[in-house]
Amino acid sequence: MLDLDIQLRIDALSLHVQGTVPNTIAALFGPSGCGKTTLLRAIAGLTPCSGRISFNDVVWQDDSQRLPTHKRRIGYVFQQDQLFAHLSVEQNLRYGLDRASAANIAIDLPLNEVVARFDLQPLLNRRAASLSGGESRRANIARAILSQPQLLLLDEPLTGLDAKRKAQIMPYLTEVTSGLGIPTLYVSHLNDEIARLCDYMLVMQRGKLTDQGPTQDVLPRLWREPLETFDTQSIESEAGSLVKATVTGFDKPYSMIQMAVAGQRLQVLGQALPQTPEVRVFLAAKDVAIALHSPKDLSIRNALAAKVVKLTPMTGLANGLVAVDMCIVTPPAKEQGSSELEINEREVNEQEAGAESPQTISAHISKAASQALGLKVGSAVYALIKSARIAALGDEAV
Amino acid sequence: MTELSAIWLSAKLAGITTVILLFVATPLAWWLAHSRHRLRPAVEALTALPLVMPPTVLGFYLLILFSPNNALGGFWLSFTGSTLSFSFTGLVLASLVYSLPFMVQPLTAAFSQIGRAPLEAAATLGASPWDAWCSTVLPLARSGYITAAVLTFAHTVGEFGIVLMVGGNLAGETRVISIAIYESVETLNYTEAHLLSAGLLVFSFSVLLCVYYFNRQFTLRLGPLRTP
Repeated sequence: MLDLDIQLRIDALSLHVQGTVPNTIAALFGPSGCGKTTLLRAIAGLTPCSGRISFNDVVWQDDSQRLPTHKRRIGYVFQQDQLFAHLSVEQNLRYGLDRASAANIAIDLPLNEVVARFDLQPLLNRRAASLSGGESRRANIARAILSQPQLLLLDEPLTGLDAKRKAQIMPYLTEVTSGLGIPTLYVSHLNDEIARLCDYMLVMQRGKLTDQGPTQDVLPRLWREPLETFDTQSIESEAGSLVKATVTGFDKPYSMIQMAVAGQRLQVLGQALPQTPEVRVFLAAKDVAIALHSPKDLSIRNALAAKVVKLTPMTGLANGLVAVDMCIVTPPAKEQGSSELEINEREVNEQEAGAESPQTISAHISKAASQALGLKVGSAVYALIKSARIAALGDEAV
Repeated sequence: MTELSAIWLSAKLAGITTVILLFVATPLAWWLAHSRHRLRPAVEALTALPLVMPPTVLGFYLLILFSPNNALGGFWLSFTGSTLSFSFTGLVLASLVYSLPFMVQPLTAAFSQIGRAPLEAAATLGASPWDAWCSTVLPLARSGYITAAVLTFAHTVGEFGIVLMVGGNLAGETRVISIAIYESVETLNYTEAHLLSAGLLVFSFSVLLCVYYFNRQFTLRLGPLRTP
């Protein structure tokens, strides 16, 4: 648990952060220039600040003392690659590891294990300067992990990589976040990354934390109370919802991953079966359509039965749009009649799923469409989502 | 042989100056490369002063400073029993001042280019500040150090005006190669002047050739203090 109560001022940025970050994979989200990197640097002790920082009841900083960076048990992955150019990849990886050993820190993550997890064996003897962008990023993350951190600070580890490289790195990040179980603070300004990797989310605006909570709660809130420093268009394109899904199968001939969301079927385009059965799927609000009846003869593969819980007319550049929040309805029992809405045979956790808080989907539709359909709170609807428009999942290779 | 004693004296002077300056200039260059202190431009200018001042002016002021009537010279005389002016120690002190920019400028350029990022990365990996500096900045600045040391050594060997002002021409004490050449020419001993001059020429060329040959990234120039 990371406890923060810090203030600092650099040029135009005034940072005042109070909050507690649980020991999980937490995203630090906010528009550029809001102080995300500065906060991360302050936590690491790289940028001096006043106030108090403690981690798992160890005080890193308060009024009377300040633990220098090298004594804080952190791993830090910088935005720019920071491998030491004069060392080989192996020497880079050993840099933090050796110092941890020298400081009598128990080595829970030995070199060979991390090298294997990150597929770095073929690169060990290469000079750091000779690596490609993706390889270098991988080595950076591995090096940080090998210093045996108790808290991992990742500053936009996917920035500057093209889509293909991102897809290559993503499985390794998943490895870090879910595989190793090191508490992580992950700076990002991309909903998509956060949705896939982070359980928890902190929202930062103008140097202050403005919202925090589990990702699936915070993410839909984001665009409903738009961040003032975001332009509406980027919010519009980033808005969406996060649903938890259970993978039930993979249709190889159609490259289609079969999933169940609250007992209903969801099909997602993908190239391989995800490694974990529980996945998170990000549904962009602009890609969700609404129908009053279960549709027929439509190319859209997904129709989730839902109930409207909130209608929010949007303003500014998004004027003319309505944000519709729907909660996914858990089917009461198998109904043979509803042929379009087959309930997956393997979905056995209906009771459990029903016991959880209902999952919500958001859609952005035009005001005209909303009125034509006569949408109001409580309307029974179908949320339509094209399989091809659903964000690819983290675990698959591209 | 007077030539040999002059060559030895020059080498000794340049060697001692280079070694001392390596230690003096490193923290100074680091500070110049990374400080945002308002006095930094002033210190930067002061350090570069020997580049533009006539050696005779510098030599003149140093001579005054070294005089037993003044604080430094007086202190030295009472402390060691000998004068600073017209002594080898005085020459070393003068060379430290005169050759300072040749050591500081390449190092500052190297440190600016390296930046603080490797130190920060090293700190997050558990390295103490000193450990971090020695294991990252020092090896990364290798070519900067080679440039600086070669420039300083070669420049100290070739120094004339300031040596003449501060050291005079005492065989075995202050009579370095450049002074010996001057004296040879004055006394029309062209054979010795030729010998020493050609030797200095060959020496300088060989040093540079070796450095360029073995270190491809090496650039021997007084680049801008701060690389963009």
